[in-house]
Amino acid sequence: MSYFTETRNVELSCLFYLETNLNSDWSGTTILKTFSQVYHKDTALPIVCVRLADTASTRLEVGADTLDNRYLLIIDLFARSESQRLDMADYIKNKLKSGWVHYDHAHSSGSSEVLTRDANGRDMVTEFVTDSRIDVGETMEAKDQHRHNISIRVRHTDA
Amino acid sequence: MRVTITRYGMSPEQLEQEIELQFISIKNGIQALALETQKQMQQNIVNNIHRPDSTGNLVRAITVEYFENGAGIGNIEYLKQFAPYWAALNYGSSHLVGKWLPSGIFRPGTAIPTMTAFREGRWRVGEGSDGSLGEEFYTARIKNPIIAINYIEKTANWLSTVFKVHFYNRLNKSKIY
Repeated sequence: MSYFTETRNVELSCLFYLETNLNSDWSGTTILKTFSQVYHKDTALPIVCVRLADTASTRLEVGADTLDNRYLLIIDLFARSESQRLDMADYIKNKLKSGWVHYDHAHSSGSSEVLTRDANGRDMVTEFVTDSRIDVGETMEAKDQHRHNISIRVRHTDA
Repeated sequence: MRVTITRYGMSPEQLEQEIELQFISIKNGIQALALETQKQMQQNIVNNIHRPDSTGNLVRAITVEYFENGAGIGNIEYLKQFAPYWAALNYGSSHLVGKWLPSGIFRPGTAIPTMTAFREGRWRVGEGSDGSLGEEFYTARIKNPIIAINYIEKTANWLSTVFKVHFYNRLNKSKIY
């Protein structure tokens, strides 16, 4: 088995959580991890792109080498309309605010397609960093017309 | 019965003076932090430059402005004027996909980009068109979108951690939540 690091697990756990919820409450939404997938011509709106962009680390306490990591997760929404953008942003914020189950992911050697996941504590949102409409200020094509950005700082807890 | 009230600690005047000193100290701290934040944001941009000979316009356009009780990093009006692509780089965009590059060549590196010269050159508009370089000039249709580098959010993540370590702890809080 090949086990993933905590950083990767935080990203995948959030992705899995949003995917599960959006699939049941907001059918037709595509959930992705990279920009190149978002802009692929075959990917239809609405799209939610979730990725871990950065980690800020400090010492948890004096005299120990444990790190207190804050993961920056960025959630980009590509909606069909302004009203859908606002509704979807609110829906996602409401889902994120209570945190989600953190899973340790792994895959068997030679089989990177199938992931196994074991629950290991929770991921908590400590801060909402941004929550705003995006205007890239250029002539926008369809996918960029109704964009929204939510970025959150997340902490993993074992409990 | 007689009650005697004895005052301990500072007088109201001393307390006012102490608060004023603390306020000045915090204000100085915020100004120093603003400069560090500006550097951090510039570094987040520089870390994502992949090709040589960057103009540095966006890095230079990240300014710091001080107000009476705080500071701001990056002025949107100034950015719109001197680095109008600031938002496209931060949030990513596909506005150029499908468009043609104005004629030019990659330089330094090979005139036509090849896999062996990956990210070696920068597109020079019009160069080579006069024939003095002895090379043809080219154009190409843009296929890939601008990938978000999120230099603003990354800076905010850094700032939140630094702020908590240096300021929150100074306010005698022993734990960071």
